[in-house]
Amino acid sequence: MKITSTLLRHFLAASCCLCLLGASVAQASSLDRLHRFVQSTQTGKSHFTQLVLDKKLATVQEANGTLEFSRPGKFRWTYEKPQGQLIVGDGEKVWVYDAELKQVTVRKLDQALGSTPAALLAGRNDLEKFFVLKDLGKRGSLEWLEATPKSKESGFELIRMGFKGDLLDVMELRDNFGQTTVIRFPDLQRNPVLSPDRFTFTPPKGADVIGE
Amino acid sequence: MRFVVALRRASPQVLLLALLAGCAGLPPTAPVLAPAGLPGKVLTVFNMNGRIGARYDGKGFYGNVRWRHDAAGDEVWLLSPLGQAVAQLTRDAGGVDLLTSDQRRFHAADAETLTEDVLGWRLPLQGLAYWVQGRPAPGGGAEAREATADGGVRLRQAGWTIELDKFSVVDGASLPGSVSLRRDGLEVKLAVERWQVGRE
Repeated sequence: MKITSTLLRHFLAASCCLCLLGASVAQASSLDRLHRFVQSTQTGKSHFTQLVLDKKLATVQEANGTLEFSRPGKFRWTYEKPQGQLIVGDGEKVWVYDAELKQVTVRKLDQALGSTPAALLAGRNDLEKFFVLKDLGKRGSLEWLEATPKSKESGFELIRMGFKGDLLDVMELRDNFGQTTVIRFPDLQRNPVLSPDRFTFTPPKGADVIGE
Repeated sequence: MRFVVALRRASPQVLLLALLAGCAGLPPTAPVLAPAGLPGKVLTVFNMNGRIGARYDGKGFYGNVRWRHDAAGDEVWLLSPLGQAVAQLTRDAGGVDLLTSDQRRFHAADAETLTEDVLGWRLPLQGLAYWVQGRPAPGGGAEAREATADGGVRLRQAGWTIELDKFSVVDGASLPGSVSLRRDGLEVKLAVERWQVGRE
């Protein structure tokens, strides 16, 4: 009985050490992964799928499309579903266009980008300025990182990023209402050649343009 | 007479709805003509997913929208294109509450007043539940209903001009894929991706 409990104690102590060791190794590794990803990925392109889950984790929206970005501050989310929804960051402004509603919304990039997921992907290399970064270690086949916006006005409670190797595989964004958006990037290409006109936007004729 | 005119001008889907409603057989106590002399039953439970755009004085709002309507009231989520909630609007017998993304809560007796005060533009939630069905809301304002050139429906009520278009039949109900609400320099547009009739 006594031996068993001693063994158990040792086993537990060893487990804790392993856990701590694991955590510290993972911490360096996961933050490194993000920094390496940001530093080594000047441009990127991937299909994406977007799931919105409510507080009870029921799927309330499914969307998909293609993301392209060019650091700093240039990105293009082209939605295939819902069709005709487009978000373009041209480096100075963010344009949101809905072809069916014939409506364009435009905002200055610094207002719009700050601590949003776009900043994590397409921002400058100063992530710590906008986010508190925390390593979550390995879960399944992915290394996870948690980014908490420093600004209360970001609309996000936190963002989690899952890396496979040095590539971003998935982002989970939790809003202030407890809803979660899961965005997967199944085929992220690093540093593809992207035409500059992917990151410009001219409002189509007949569209209403709204500045907020 | 008005019923006949409405039917004649109605889109094929509305006619189909009328036929379906006829086939289903209305209970004897139900009025043959619903509020505005339109055939069929008023839907009391539905869900809608889509996008919403509001425009006024060069300002406005754009995002995704989720709307659940039932006999007890409404729940409307206004969301960014990436899915983050900007505001949650709930309406019940006690009035309307609006919760913003910074978790501030506002309350008013009706949705139009509340959305105008908090968001800067009016969302006429109470009327909308009827208008999307091509019907005037019960008891309020001068009303008119006519077909538009492109097969849609135009309603006027309580200061609003409502245009419905791109109808499809969902569980026997004819519902629009496109909705426009206009009054006093404000236009609110809806592009519907999905209607769901009855409980989920």
